[in-house]
Amino acid sequence: MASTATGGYYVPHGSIWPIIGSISLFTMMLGAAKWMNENPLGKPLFFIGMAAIVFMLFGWFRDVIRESIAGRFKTQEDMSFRMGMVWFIFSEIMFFAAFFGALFYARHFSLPWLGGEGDGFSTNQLLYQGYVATWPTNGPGDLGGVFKTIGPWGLPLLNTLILLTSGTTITLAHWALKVGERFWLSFWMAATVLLGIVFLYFQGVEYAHAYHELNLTMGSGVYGSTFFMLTGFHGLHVTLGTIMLAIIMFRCMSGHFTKDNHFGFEAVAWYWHFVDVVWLGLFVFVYVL
Amino acid sequence: MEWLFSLSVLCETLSQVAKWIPAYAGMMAGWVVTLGIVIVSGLLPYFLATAA
Repeated sequence: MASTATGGYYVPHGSIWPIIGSISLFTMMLGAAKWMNENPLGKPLFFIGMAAIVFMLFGWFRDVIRESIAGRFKTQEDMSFRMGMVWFIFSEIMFFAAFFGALFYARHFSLPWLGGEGDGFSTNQLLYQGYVATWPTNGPGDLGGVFKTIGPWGLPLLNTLILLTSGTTITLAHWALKVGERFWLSFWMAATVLLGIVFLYFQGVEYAHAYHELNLTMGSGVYGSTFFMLTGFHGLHVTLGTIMLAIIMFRCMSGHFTKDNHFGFEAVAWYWHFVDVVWLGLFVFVYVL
Repeated sequence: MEWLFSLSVLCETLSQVAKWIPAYAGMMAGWVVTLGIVIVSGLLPYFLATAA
């Protein structure tokens, strides 16, 4: 149904972005597969596909922003956007749940079995006699050699404080948007973006320290795999969140949002709080315990 | 009359720029203050160590 002044549902016509998105994703994945198989076409195909995806995202979001500014979206579209964001964040929770699950399984099931406990004790009898299960570990094979872990009370604690502070600054930005304070809206958004960048910088410092001085790498057995998988994917999410925050900051400055109509802002705030909560889980289960 | 038209265009441009001033000022202030806090708090342990 076409959008009308009284309601209805706006349906865009003839959008080229879904088909461009599909072709771009296919190109990128084909490139990735060929690259892994050392085909010379793989690398260029991968980057062409990736560039096309970025182009598609810019174009699609540009169209949605224009539709929003033109007043095409009303109550039903607003609810669709909210539901879309809720389910997207739910899928992200499940994504991280899988990796947290892998960590719990390795620590609380696999390792005790390898050490001779419980139903799986025969693994210890047949393959790894004398292996004592401890955590952290790179397994009975001592994969990657001797390594040290990163203590929680240095950079990880600092990064926790930085992310928690950024959760506060984005809430202050939301308050400024609701009361129509343009200066403070930009102020708190800029602070949030910068805190995201500082977090990523410290994460980079931590990784360099892990690789060069602690011999903690992705090859350090089950500890290295779970550590870098969890913190790495979280870092990617912070990167994406920071890009989203920066775009929303410029949209705020361009006057795209009103006191009552600013779901774009709220969606990014939800995402940022989600990233924040995942970090708290990481800090406790990866660094502290 | 052409000068009047030019003047009106100039005024319009200036009013548009003026609308952006609080937003830009806020963004710059936000970056400067946050970066300042991060740098000062990062350097604080060194200052304290030197003082001790």
